[in-house]
Amino acid sequence: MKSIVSFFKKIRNVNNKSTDRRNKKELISSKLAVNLNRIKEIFVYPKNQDFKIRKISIRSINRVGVILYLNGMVDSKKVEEHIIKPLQEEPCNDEKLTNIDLINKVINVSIADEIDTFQEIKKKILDGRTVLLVDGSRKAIYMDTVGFSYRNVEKPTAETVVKGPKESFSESTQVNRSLIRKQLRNEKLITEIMSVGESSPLDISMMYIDDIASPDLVKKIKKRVQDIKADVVQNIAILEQHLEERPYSLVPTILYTERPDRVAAFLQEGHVVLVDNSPAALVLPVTFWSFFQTAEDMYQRWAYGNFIRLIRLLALLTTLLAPAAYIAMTNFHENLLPTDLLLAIAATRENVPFPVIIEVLLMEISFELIREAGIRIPNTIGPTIGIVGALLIGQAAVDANVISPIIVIIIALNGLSSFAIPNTSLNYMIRIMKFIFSFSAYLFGYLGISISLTVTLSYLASIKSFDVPFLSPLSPYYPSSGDTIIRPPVWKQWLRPLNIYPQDKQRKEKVEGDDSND
Amino acid sequence: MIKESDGKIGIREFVSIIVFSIILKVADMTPNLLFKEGMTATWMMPLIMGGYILLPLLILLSLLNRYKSKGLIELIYSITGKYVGFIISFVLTIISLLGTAVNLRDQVDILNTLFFPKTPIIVLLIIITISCYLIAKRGLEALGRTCWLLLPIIIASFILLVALALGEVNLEYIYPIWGPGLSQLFKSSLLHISIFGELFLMTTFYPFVRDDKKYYRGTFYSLFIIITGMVLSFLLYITVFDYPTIQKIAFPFQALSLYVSIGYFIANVENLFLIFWFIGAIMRFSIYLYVTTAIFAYTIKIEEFELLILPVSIVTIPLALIPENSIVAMRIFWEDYILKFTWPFFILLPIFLWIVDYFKGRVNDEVC
Repeated sequence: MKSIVSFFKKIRNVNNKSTDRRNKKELISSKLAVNLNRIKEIFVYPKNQDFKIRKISIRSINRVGVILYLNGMVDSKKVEEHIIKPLQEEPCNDEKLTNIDLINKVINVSIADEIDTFQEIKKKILDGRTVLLVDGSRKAIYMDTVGFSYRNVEKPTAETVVKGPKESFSESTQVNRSLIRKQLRNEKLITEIMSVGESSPLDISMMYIDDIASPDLVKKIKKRVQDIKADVVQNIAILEQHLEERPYSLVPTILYTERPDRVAAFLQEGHVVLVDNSPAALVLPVTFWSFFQTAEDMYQRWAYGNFIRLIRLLALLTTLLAPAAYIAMTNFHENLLPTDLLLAIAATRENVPFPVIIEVLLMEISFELIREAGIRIPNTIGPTIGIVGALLIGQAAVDANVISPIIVIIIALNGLSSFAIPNTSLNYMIRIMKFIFSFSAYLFGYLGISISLTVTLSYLASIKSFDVPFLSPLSPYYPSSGDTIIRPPVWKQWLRPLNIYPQDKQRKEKVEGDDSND
Repeated sequence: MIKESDGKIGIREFVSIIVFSIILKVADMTPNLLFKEGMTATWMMPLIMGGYILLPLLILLSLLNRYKSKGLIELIYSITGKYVGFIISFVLTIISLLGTAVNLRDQVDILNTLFFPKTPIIVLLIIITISCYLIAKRGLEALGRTCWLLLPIIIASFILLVALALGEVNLEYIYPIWGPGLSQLFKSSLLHISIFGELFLMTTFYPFVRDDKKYYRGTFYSLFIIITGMVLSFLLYITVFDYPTIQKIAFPFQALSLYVSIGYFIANVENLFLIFWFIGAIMRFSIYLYVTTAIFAYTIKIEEFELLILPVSIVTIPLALIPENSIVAMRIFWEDYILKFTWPFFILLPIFLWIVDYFKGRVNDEVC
């Protein structure tokens, strides 16, 4: 027992030591050779061939310096033209020039500053900056020369619209932030940069509008991000899982969106957005309605926007309930169906050897298989999935008397509806819950469905995303513009949803007008 | 300033909770009990009962208003002291617990008779109790929000039922308009006043409602909704089924939903109403479990009462199994044992509390 305790103590001590070493600030010395050795040690040079060290003599101050950067992370053209060239060619003015003077007078890179610890040097180099060490100086200079390669701004793939902007985020923070700022030209739009992860930190930009977003909310999110105890947080999708309050719950509480225009709309309501080098941004806090709505609902005219929302609500209910309702109907409540239809269904089921639940599960699982395979399949053999799928969920299965034709209709309808659910997280949630509903319908018919429905609703009503009730502003009621299942016309949406606790409640003065067209 | 969610509920959620806890009585065997007494004039009974409980309710609310941030049980304790307070609160706990058990049994028997004849009663009972426990466990806020979400749906389905049943209505069935005679009507209304007992029990949550003034308004809104709903449904039952027949129908709501149809093709719409009735019933018993637990916890002075919901739910199951069937449950246990003993309690308790408070207050004032 004692040995175990001491073993754990040892582990803790080791951990403590390693974090101590990480946190300790190690200052730069004035000797270039010493500094260089330490940096070589940090970056495992010369084993690491991507790490570049270039000695230069700085003419303007008549001293030797070293330029450090990671190959592939920097724009080498920028390094050559704007750093090396001026440093070597600028004529000697004054030997007493300091680092600051170097920055001010010689180097022509837009962002440059002094740093004085090895930790900072390491961080800056890893972020794609170039660091200049000057002999005899206790400070280093970093220069912004980031030159990653990333995709161009392309069309969104998961959140497509017919009407509205067709840009999506790309794998670069700079580009992503510029896309947001382009949509939302507000001087109060703030970007704060935080870093997450201990061994290879990830820079995350937190954006919010200063005079709208609730300060408590901003503080809370900041704290939550800083509290993440992870060695590496690779990107925003992983960050989402670190941030959420209920890791085992089926219900998503953070919105992952690839559309800058949606992000801009959320920012204006007082939400906070996290952006990094990922092709998406995180919006938090969110409500159920954020998952249910799409950007297009707002871009289309009032009637059309509401029409597509109602269709989507229908799709959501169909996905959740169609198989369950069919099971309940055929097993418990035959009398719901008109007699003719009932007889037709019974006739088609005559030759099928399985009970309804097996039939439904068989088809549901096949459909899920086709879905998953459709995503993973290499593009070159993509079309086969259609053929295989048509055989599986189609005439062949019916002809073989494995399933009844009515099931094909139910599952096809169900699959089609599930594609109309706009958000991937919501989509998964509904698809998993569909199985729970089917089982409860199999056990207790409509009673089972009602129980599942009520329990689900009460669960949804009870959870919160960063203190915002998930079904608000509908339940609990908060004053808002009523943009939930259906939306009012754009000019009537003068009130921000108060469930996000915005500082400034109104978008504009309430418009007095009447609804009639004359 | 809009407050962040603080464990309190707003007026909308509060009204929905009260409405759900009472209005669904039109869909169990309560109408049978009332029609036995009220005959063709049963539809007036909710109105009369509403009149009866108005005074005690107002007294209770004014007392609660005086003792701010105290619920019903805490109020009883602080007015009547440790021992009497315990006895009264304990009686309330028992009333609430038995009411929950008997009504649950009634509900399960309806399910068993009409829809799941082969399923053992205990299985249905356990399933429903488990689901109600799961909902109640999520707390008052979740209950209120869910009820508020579901209330419009339930009301819409009720309106649809009324609209569909209008074709079957025969207005002449409501004569003789005074039924058994006015005096009899007033007397039997008084005896069945405990049907509205939840209004009193709900005052346990007085400190959890965001605004005192809203509590008054909320109580009266919910009373209005409940009375309207009851009057309408009793009118519907009597005008569709007629008086002597209605007594022979065990489950008038379910019978009515079987009776109506939308055209020839969709002849059986009852399943639609069934789903809403199931949902309503589950919400109703979740509220009952929560209220019972809360009253019990306040009686024995436990703060964290949400842990007690499980034991209370477990106790409910054997209690609900005691009556042999729903007729025994409703006619004997509910009507003869509970309703007939508790009506004086609900009327007299507020008056008693008020008198004690009045004298105590006067003594205190003199001391000061």
